[in-house]
Amino acid sequence: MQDEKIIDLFYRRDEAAIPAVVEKYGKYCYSIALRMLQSAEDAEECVNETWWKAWSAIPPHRPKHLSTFLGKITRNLALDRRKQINAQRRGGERIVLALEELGQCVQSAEGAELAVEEAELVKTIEDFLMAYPKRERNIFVGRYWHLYSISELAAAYGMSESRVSSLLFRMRKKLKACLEKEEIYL
Amino acid sequence: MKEERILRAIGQLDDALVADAELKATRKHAGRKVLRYAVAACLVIALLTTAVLAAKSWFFDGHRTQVSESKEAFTPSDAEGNSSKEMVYELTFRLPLRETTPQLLETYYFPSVPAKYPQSFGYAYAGIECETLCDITFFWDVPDGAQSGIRFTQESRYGLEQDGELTENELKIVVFSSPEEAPLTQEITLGGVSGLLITEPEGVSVPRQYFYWSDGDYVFHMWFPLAMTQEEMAQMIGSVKQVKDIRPQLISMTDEALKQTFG
Repeated sequence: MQDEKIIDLFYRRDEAAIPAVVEKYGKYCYSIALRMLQSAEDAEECVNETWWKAWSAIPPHRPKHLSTFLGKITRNLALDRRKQINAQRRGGERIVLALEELGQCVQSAEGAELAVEEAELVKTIEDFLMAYPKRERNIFVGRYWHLYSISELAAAYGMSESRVSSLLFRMRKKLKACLEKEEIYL
Repeated sequence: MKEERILRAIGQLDDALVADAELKATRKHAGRKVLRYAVAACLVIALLTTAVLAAKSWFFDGHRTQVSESKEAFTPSDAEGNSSKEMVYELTFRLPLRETTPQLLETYYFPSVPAKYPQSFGYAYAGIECETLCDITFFWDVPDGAQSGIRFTQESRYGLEQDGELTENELKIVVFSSPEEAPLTQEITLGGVSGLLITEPEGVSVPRQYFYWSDGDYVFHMWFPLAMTQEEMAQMIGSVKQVKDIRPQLISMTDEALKQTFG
């Protein structure tokens, strides 16, 4: 079923919207949650909660990209869930790695008194990414939004794993410099 | 956690950015894709292996007579605008990269080649850092006999052009008429090392120096990263032996590098 029709079902408060969205995006959202949580049980709970949140959000929201809209909900739920779970016991290796890598971009807040609004941080990261060619941008977003592994990204873009790692390393360094330049301290 | 804030912020990126980055490959096609890649890889390996074996035979045995049979790849021109055809041959292999590759600079050896130069010595310097691709390049070239200098650029790695003003991303090679005029020439022996050239990953700047010398029959080249001291470079140059003495070692070096690349 096309996304527009699914969204129309949401707008009409037709409960057929849920099975329709589950059929089309169930696996997609589940894979996002599983990558972040490394637990089938927790991933399923996140996904089930995603449909409830989508039902609450649409309307009034009318997403342009339904897949991304749902993926964001799942992602945030998984992050919240992860806070409640022992990541060491369950694994969560990909998100641990992603967090460790992104820690390199974080400027120490010593002596700084600024706290940044979420929207400003998002805008800064978007501006940073838009300065890159599409492939580099997609690799970064693929790694830190979709949480694809280095090997998955390397295979998808026809690059060696070390080249992908090297590219991400350089981009993280530049993101850190960009955040420092904008005086963004977290 | 601070890094979690960045992760959440990334989670709020524009939908179009996120959708663009989604990998489209599905599991049900993975098998066919893997098979296609495997077949293509086998063909490429078979072709390259054949080419390398042929090149090895060409390079180490009777290469003089085979120069004219090499692939004609470019036409440099001299200061007067006269052009001549030169022969080059190139094989390229890809090596995995490392994040710390800029800090792991290596010494590179060019193959020895037939030359039209009279006996001479020279060196090159990189005023600007140059970016190159990550390949192992097994190649040689036949200089066109320019006496005032040769230039290598990013666009023409094996291109030879006349001397001119040094511009960004170019290496200028200076030719001297006698060993005494060139630095470190007192350490240079009339011999050379042949082997594989390993270049740097794309986007990484590597400053370097380049030395060459000729005994009238062959031109020998060596690259050094600028991070090396003069003493280290002199020691390296001084340790170079005559080609005939180290040919068996070079053959096994080539085999080893190929084995590491292709398994």
